[in-house]
Amino acid sequence: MFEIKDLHVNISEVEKKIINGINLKINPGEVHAIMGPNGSGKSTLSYTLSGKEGYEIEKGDIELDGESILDDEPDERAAKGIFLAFQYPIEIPGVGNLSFIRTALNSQRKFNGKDELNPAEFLKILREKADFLNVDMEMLKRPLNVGFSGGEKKRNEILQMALLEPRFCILDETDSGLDVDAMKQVSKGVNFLRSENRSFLIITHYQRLLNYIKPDFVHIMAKGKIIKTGGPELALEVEDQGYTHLLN
Amino acid sequence: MVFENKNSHWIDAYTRKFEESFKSINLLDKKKEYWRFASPLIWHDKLPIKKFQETRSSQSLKFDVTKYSFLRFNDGILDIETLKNFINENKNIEICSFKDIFLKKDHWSSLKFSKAQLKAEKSYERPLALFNGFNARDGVFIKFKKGVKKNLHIIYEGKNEKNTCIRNLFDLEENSEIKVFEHFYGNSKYNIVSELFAADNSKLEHYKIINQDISNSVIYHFFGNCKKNSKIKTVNFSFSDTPVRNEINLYLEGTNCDTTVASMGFGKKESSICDNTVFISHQEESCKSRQIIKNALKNGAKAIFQGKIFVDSKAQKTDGYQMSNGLILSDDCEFLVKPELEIYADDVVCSHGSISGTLNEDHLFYLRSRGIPLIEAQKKLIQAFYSEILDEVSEDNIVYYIQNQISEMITL
Repeated sequence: MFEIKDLHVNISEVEKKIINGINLKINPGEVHAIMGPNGSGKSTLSYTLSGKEGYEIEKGDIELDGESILDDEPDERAAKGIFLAFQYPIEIPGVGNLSFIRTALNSQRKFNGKDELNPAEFLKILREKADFLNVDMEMLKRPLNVGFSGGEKKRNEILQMALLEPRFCILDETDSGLDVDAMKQVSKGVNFLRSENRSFLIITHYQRLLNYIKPDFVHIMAKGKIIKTGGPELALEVEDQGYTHLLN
Repeated sequence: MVFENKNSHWIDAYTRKFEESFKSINLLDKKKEYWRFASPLIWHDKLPIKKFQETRSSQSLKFDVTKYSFLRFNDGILDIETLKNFINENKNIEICSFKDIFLKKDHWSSLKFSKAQLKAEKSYERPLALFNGFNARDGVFIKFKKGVKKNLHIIYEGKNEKNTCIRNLFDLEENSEIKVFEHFYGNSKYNIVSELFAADNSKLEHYKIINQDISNSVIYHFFGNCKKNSKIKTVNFSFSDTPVRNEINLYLEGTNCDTTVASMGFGKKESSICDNTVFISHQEESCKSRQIIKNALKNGAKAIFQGKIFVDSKAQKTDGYQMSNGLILSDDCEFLVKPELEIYADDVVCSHGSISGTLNEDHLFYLRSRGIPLIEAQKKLIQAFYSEILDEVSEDNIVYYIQNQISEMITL
């Protein structure tokens, strides 16, 4: 279970408080969507949960299965099962995609007391998942995200998620920059990974993604707080009426 | 002169000239343009031998050459067994040691000896190359005949703390394709001059690996005259924490020459200086040159890059590129860069650039967000920093060897 308790967060660089008391409980198997106007703190929330430097927690806690993760480094949080699919996956020239994914997988396995996979074992698992997600193996031989289209970058994020098998996945505006077909492809991957042991926090501006990845709960975030929670119908309401009536 | 050869030899005139020129230079003059950032006295052996670091003797540091054609120098003297084996294995390659040149009155090298060096001297004074000219104790003069394809490894092993001046000459005849790998180990203070004569359509890949276990300074001069359609690549890898200076001077004397000068250095201590001073002169049309320099530095290490592209008025359609990158891993390091373009033709594309910085925090976070621990993530990014240099290496086993050395260095 993933729980955020009365979380208050400043961005250190600009000394500005962005998250003003968020409380959120996500049980295993649940899919929660967060929507909200620009500047509401959605991405700040996703970076804070994944442990990025520069996000200072003034108050509150973040717990995974009842244990605080505030003192955990980003790699430790990942190894414990937290995965962030980036809105803008970064390009890293010189780092091979294949080598990167294998290092990530084996690092997590090592952290959790499991044996590392040898290259043959890794390739077997990789091929299965890549085929399902329509990720070209040639793409995997290239440097990490370098020269990838927007859709390819997002599919690469989902492939990593499929291989690393996290327990809690944060999808930060996964649909941004995607055409309908690319979005369907990405959604197919996410839906494939849905299980009773895995939960999702989907951050999105638009309701259309939620046509393909049906949430259990929808939260509206504004000015660093969750101002309303509902079911999937809340997303339709926002699509139809915008955020203004909720902010008022 | 070092040799006690009482008979006059054609080399004598050159060695006298080198000695006279050397003595006319004031090594203490701090106004010398290409010695501004590091004094020649650092590499000059008149000073007491200074051991910069303890030798770390380890087999894992050494590249296994036993499967290849190789020559070995022990404390600056060519090992006769390796020379004999090489001669037996390679009938279409003429080879002679520098020492044995003095036993031959006529030798093909008399037409080439010092020609590339003397041309290079016109660009700026090179006192330590001059010093080598009258103090070299041994070396190899190799003529690769027309159409020959060959890979050759040269090992320089310095067991004792000695001044070691070595003089080489590589003559590539037309259409020859040669790869030379030079490996440096041990305690010697090295001063090496290698002259290259690349005939029409010849190709050379030249790799120089200054191993981690080098405990003394190294200065390597590489002077090349390149003819039409020749393709020359020289790549340097510096892993030692001692002063290393690469002086590279290439004259592109034929049309459509293609040259690449690449260098990577990893300095981890204050004693580490990685100095690349490169001069490429475009003398004819349609030649291409690239200079790519990458240095990662920490704990007070220093790197220097002085790179010049000269384009003669005849050298239209020149394509010249120069890029230097510094990865600064602690606040007390220096990466000193002096790029130069001197262009007299009007239809050219020439560019130079230099970027220095630390490891990208967003890159680090991305890797760590996937469970890769900090040290591993830093290792990956440092390996990535050097990937452009490693892409220049065409032999997988050398790439693998270099990657292992980098990996080991990062954890030190």
